[in-house]
Amino acid sequence: MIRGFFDPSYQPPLATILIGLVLPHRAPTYVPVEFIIDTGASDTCLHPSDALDRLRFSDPELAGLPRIARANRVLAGITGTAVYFAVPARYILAQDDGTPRVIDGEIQIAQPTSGNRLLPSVLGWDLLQHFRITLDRRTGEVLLQ
Amino acid sequence: MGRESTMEMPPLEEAVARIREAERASAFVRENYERLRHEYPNKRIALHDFEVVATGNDSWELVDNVQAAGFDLADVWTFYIPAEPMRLLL
Repeated sequence: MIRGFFDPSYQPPLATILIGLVLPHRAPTYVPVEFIIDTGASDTCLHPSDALDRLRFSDPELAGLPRIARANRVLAGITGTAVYFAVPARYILAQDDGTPRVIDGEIQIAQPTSGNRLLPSVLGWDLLQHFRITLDRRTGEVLLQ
Repeated sequence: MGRESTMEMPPLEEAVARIREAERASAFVRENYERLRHEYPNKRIALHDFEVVATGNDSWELVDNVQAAGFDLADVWTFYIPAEPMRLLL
């Protein structure tokens, strides 16, 4: 079981989970990133705030993603459309018993636009499908089992 | 939030410990969000041992200020503190 939390910096507070993210095309290193649990998203996405602030992508590195990405897609969201590049990703989740759960997959990395600079990264169904999800605002429970 | 630099990949059990450390820093920000959003509205902050050691209007300014404060980027956790809780339509 993996526990998350409701983040009060959103109104209403949004269910969030912290995951160690590895991008093998960069380095075999990981960075903890908070993902909003988004049951309406098909894919897990890394948005510019986390790419720049936490994974410390440079602007040229973001611009160079088309060279290493498996695919690029234009995805629509409430802030408009943005181009996302799919790259391999390893997700490390900390379980209650202290053991890691590792899921290998992909992540969609967004090209910065004026509308997505402050968007949180989102955990979509490509990962959520592995879990039974409990979101209970009343008790504060955010559980992936 | 997150460390300001990537870390060498430790054994996975150590990765769990690092994630727990990140969770504690994140919990501190949540528990103190009302105070922090008044003290540091729309700022990026760097935490070390649950104390704000640097702030910045953007990530580059924050990095400069963390280093000016004498901290290694790998030893701080960073957060964006919105002045008002953000509404998202996802």
